[in-house]
Amino acid sequence: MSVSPVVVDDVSVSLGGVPVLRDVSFTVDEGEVVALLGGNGSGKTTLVRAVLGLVPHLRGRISLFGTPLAQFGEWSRIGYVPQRASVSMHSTTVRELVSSGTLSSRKLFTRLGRARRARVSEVIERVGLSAKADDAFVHLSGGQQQRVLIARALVSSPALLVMDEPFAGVDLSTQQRLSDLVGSLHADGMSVLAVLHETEVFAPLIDRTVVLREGRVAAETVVETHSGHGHESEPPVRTVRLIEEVRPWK
Amino acid sequence: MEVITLAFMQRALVAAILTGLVAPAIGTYVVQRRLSLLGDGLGHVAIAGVGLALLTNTSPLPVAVVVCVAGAVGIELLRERGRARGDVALAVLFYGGLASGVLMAGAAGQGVGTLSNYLFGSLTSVTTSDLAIVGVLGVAVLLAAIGLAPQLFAVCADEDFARVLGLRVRAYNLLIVVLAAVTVTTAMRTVGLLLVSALMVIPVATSQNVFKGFRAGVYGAMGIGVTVAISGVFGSFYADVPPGAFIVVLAIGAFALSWPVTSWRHRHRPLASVDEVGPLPHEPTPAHEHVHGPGCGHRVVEHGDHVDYVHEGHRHVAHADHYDEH
Repeated sequence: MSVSPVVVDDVSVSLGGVPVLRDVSFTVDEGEVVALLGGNGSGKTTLVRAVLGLVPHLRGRISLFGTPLAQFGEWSRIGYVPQRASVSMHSTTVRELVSSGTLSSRKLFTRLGRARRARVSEVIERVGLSAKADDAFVHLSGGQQQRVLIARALVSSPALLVMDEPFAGVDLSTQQRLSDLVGSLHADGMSVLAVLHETEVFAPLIDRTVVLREGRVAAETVVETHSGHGHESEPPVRTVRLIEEVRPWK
Repeated sequence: MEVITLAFMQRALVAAILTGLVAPAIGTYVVQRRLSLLGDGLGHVAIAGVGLALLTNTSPLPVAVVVCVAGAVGIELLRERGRARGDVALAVLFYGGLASGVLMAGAAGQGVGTLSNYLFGSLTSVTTSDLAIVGVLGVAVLLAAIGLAPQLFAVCADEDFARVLGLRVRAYNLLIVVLAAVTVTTAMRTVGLLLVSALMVIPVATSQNVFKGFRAGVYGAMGIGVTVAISGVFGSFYADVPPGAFIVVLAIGAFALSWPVTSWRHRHRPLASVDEVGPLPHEPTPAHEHVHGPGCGHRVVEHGDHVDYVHEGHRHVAHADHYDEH
């Protein structure tokens, strides 16, 4: 039986005493791409931060790969792409930053090693930045920096990729390129939880959307794929089915 | 070079070499965490340790190490729990440490003259037992700073990402301030407690101007640190001035020399192409009823793959159900 990479059950979160999320539930099943949508201040970023244990939750349960968050230790199974990286050492290179993604599976006082070094080069190549591998991260454009953050998250070959607005400030062609990359990894079985402002280029990959409004789940939809009129030659048709209606607020 | 045959100079040189290597190594992480003044605050705490040692008639170095480490742990816990803002916490360190140190030294019948040996360094004051302590602690700090470099780098570069890697961020943050505290106190015989922070920060800044990459930056800073420390010890001997001041002036000189390298690099960096415009912040505009579009009355400016509308001096671009500032 497969275990859902993410299960969020009736979770509430407060920041500085202010309720930000209330009674939120959703799951990311194995191999599924889930998009978290919602306007500014709806609680999307707080929700992914709570899922990753970066902010504490007051009530409810969060489990990762079947293990309660507090006991979870297999962090190499998770790749995280934050909205922005603040790298204060302006000489830090792309290769160094991506290499730091290997630390979840590295012992203390050990060197990077040949296999991991090759893996770092491989993911840098996959995001199309081989020519920039030894350049300073801070000198890259916004889209290139985003690609570095995705490479850093992918270097440990995670089973779950969590992305927080990966396309913010990224031009359309780079968005398409990043989306294609995530799509190919998803085809290999990787699950994805992505906070998105708009689905746009990512839309074809999405299996389920969870829409947040004022800290609650306002709607949840699943995307179902059908073969077009039963003819194999026709492209499959994707339809969206609402599985949870907008609920009135208390 | 008869000067090298002098026993006190040999001890001072060994201490300076260790300090020159260790201070920039740990300083790299301190700078990266934007706590450049931490070393200064810890130096002041260490003065309290020196005062306590003078008052109790014990050896200053071990007492200063213990007091400074305790102060460092306290300040990190305060910072972590948000009980005190970083600058307020550092101010408490600065003035509390300095005042209590001077107070205790005075009560012990020692004047500011005795304390100044610890504040600005003194070649003749490095004893054999001091050297043993400086050697053991210096090597320990160096092993941690270099051996744990990947973990410390990850924690300093991006704390959230480090947490998701499963790293014990809190423990590493504590380790950094403890290593900084040990470094500050072991440097008090050579650079002095008031100037050691400069040796933790300036070679790091210089190295970043010259070398590319974090690792190269660490080793570069250590190279610069040890060079100015050794030169400063000799300069101090011949000029008969405190070594700390000489070392720091040399470090600042090296930093000034590194500026042309930075300027040259900036001039020779390839210009960003249109699709490489800097990161666009996601900054929504205040809500407005007006809908931008062709012929809406606002000036249109091309921006990469889209157009911005100039609205009351701001450039707006449509994003989902709102507009962003560009």
